[in-house]
Amino acid sequence: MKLSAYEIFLPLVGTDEKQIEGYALLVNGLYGAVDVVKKEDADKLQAGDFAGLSAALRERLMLRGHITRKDEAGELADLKLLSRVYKTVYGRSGVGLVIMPTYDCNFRCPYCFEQHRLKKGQGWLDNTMSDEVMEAIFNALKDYKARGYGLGHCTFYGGEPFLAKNIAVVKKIADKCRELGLSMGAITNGYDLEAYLDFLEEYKVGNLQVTVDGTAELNDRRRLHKDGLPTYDRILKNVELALQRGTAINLRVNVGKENLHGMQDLVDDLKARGFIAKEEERAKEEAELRKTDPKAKTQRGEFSYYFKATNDDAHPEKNISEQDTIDEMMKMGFTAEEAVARQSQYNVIWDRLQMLFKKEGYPDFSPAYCGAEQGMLVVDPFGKVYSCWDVVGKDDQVAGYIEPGMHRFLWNFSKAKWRTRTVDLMKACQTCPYAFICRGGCASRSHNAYGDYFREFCGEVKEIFAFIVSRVAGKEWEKRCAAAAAGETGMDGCAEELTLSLAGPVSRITEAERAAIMATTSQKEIFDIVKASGIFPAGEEAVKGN
Amino acid sequence: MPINKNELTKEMLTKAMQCETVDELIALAKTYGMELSKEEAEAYLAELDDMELDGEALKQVAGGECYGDCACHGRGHGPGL
Repeated sequence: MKLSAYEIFLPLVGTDEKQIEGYALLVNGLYGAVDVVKKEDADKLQAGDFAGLSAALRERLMLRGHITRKDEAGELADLKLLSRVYKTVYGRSGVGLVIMPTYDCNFRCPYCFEQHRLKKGQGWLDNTMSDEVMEAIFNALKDYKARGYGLGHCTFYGGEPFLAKNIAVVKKIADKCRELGLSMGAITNGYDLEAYLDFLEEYKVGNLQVTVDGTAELNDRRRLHKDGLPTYDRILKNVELALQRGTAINLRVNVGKENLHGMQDLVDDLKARGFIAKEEERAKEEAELRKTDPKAKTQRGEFSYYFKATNDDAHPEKNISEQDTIDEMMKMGFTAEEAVARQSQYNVIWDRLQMLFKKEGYPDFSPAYCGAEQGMLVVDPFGKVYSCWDVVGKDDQVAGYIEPGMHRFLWNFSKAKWRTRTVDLMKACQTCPYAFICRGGCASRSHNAYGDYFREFCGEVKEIFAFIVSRVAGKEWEKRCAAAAAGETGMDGCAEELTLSLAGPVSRITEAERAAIMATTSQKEIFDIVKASGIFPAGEEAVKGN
Repeated sequence: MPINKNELTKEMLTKAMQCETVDELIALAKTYGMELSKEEAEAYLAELDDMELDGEALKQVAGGECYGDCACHGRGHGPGL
């Protein structure tokens, strides 16, 4: 009997930001089990004193994977098994489509990760997607759908996808998307958005990500128009116009040393311009509408904003940590939860954990950091396909391409290289407790740090995870204790198990089934075996006869 | 696995996409001067396969998953549990 190699010990932090005395948090990074235990029991576990635990606790922790009889190779085999299941079943079930109408952009942000494309000159940048290339791309996408792949959404990307001069091309692409039944969104600097207002409404563009980096002059220094024109006021006016047309706007703020202390001014300006108050009204209206129609939407689009530490690898001295943005927001008066909700590297984990606490599904076991290692296709105006949107325009990272007259993408071996950038195959990640949490980190960050897309990048994930889990679990624990004190529920062992654990379903897979999973490449064969173990969300089919 | 994009012609890639087994693809890649691992060969061939899961099965699998978002550019995948 030993402690799992994937075990993480963390404190519980209450909503008052103080450590909850007498208790500790156990997180098993392999099976996703999150448990509250008494601090004295956590100390015994760390000391290997399993005999000092109560029989009931010891049994519970063994069932959930915190304590194990498996050696390192045995646990690694579980990680590889889960990874293979995920990659074969989930990872291959759909396409994440990103289309670039052009590489051109009207901005010259100094931290842009696409600066390499500027060397090709304005003549090259002026190119937009031709009708023939567009036809070939959408024939290939129809082929994907005909072969059973999920394809539901298209994100417009660039350069700047919504340049006023390119609206005709963008409309043609949007027409093709509409024929395929795709919803649409975009990542845009918002400068020319006024020219696209009718387009947004006509094509029901659901959401836009727009970036500002502070107020007025601070923004204009970082979100730099290529002709030196001011950008801030125009962007925010366009954001308001787009919201009025029903498009949701997610305002992203890239934060570095230069604008870290400008975050307060930006939030104040968003309030002064009415964005916050109007969003509160809109949310109330939507809640009212949804009492009778769960899918009802307001005429005005949803407004949100979030902060992200800039990764300017050309000028690392200008960078800050993600935690710096959280600390700054808390100095501004936001609670930890409010700050997390406004930080893109934190909010995903917070939201996911809150869902897991409902115990309606198992923890995620994706071995892939993002769509780049799965089904994402970033198609440039020339028909070249990339796996990651950070590497567009880099000739040595083309994963495939299509030419006029073709009906399928032609893949080179780079595609397979990206698909296999997963924690079960990266040596450094295989026995890391954070394997299914970090998932290998961002390939682009890895390249910037080490010159290699295909190795791990840990970044701040341990610190971010510790910050969030301690607090979201602490909040949940306080809620459960309060409910018990009010006589609404009991505080039995189940109350201390905050999530389900994959240890159970994995233990139900027989040795023969395990061997079959590791040998076959059949999606259906793996799905049928694993369905019987109960991992997938419960449905009629899952429950019947299993 | 060394990748030399400039030397892989359309004809060579078309041939690669016609391979039916992992061993066949690994052997072909070798003739191109490239080493493919078993996992890479499997991943390459999987790209060409049809989906085997039907609509009902997909409902159980696909709920809540997105394939394209990256935590660095917006909300979506990235670190988590």
